[in-house]
Amino acid sequence: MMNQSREYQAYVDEQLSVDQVINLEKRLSKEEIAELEREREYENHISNFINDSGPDCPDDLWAKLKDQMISEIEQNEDVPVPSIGSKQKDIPVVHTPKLNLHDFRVWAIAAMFIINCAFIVAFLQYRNTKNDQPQNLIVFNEDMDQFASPAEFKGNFTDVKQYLHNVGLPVNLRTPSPNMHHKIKALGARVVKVQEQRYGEVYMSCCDKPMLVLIGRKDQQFPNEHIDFSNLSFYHIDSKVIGDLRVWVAGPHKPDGIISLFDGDSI
Amino acid sequence: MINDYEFVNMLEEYRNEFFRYIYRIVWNDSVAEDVFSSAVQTAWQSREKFKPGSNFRAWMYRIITNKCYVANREIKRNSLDVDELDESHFAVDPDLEKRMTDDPEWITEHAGDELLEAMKQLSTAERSSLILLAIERYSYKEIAEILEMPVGTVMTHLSRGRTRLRRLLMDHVLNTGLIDLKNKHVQKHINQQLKQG
Repeated sequence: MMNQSREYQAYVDEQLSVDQVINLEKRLSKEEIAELEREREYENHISNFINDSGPDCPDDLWAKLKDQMISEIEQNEDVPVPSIGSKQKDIPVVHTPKLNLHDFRVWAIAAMFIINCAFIVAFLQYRNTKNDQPQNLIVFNEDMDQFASPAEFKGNFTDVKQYLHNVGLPVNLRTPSPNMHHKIKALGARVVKVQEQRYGEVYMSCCDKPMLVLIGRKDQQFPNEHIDFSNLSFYHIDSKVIGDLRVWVAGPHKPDGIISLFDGDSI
Repeated sequence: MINDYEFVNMLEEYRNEFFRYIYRIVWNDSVAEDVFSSAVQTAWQSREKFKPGSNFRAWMYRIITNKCYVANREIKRNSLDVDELDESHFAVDPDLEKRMTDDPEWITEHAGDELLEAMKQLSTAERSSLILLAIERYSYKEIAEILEMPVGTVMTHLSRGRTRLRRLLMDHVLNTGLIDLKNKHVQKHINQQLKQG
């Protein structure tokens, strides 16, 4: 059981559950609630001020560190090929029997080697092709299960909000009130990359119509060309900037209901 | 195990966020660069320990915060003594406190530099807790996991950090007569309103 000052602190920091908030607000007078709200505003203002004070990572520092890591990866990927030049003198001379090109076994081994090489090349090409494909080609489908199936993570509003927070896209996604005119559901989410740009992709529905929600940096563009809207006769799209992030909502239903659930004031 | 290129991409994605966090803990450009380099190298060497699908940012913050403790030459303490939980010696005048908190914009406008200076006087644990909560938006539980200490200790660090910040700011506000200045400013505004009607 939390003591009173801890409970107030958790209230100001928005760390209480909905039930705990309701329970506490029942016990507090209007003046006390207003006092705690004022406290929250003060802390938020101070935080925003401190947040604006830090410098970005220097580009040259990052470039140096990145180069080190990439060169290590590339070194590990290289197949070590013994050099015939300068190092040859260090290799002890071993008299090996000469290859007999008329021996059937030599040709069999050579053929197996060539077949193996061909397999490796084919596999690498397949892997590269697979990696180049955009990962978020969305086809709008009336079947909601199929629509939700690519989600890396399935869950409701609270879970999706936490997921977005964990993957570095801290937007506040509110749970819609039961009285809301539109019936909005959250189904799941995943992180996708399109042309080296990272987006959080949230699967939602509004009045039983599938809606696509993307969250990216404020300066990113909506990746229209990677989303297949051909199943729809028309679609709506709208966006909202929240701090350094932008939320896009697109789909066959008007996006205003869903977009109103996003804000950046609190997590 | 996570793909190496993917790991580098994730570091690149969050590099500015991590660097700003380090800077706000060590408050020195060159020290921040050293800590950042060291943290990235440690993370790179330990990348096999990172579980794909788990929280990359939290994993990195744990490495970074440990480096910050070393840089600040502080020892991480996983709990606080009961005596230390008594915050009475950090207590501030409630009336003055109210005058300060009722207009935070005015305070940051007139005492912003002092606020940043006051941040430097907090302990590493207090600064980390405050930044992870207020700026990086982590929950108490997540902060406790990152700082490897109980939730109660995190709350104590937060409470003490804030109280010390307020006290330092209040000292400045009182010593420089800013409160009087503010009162005059408010009075002038009220007088103008009365004149207008």
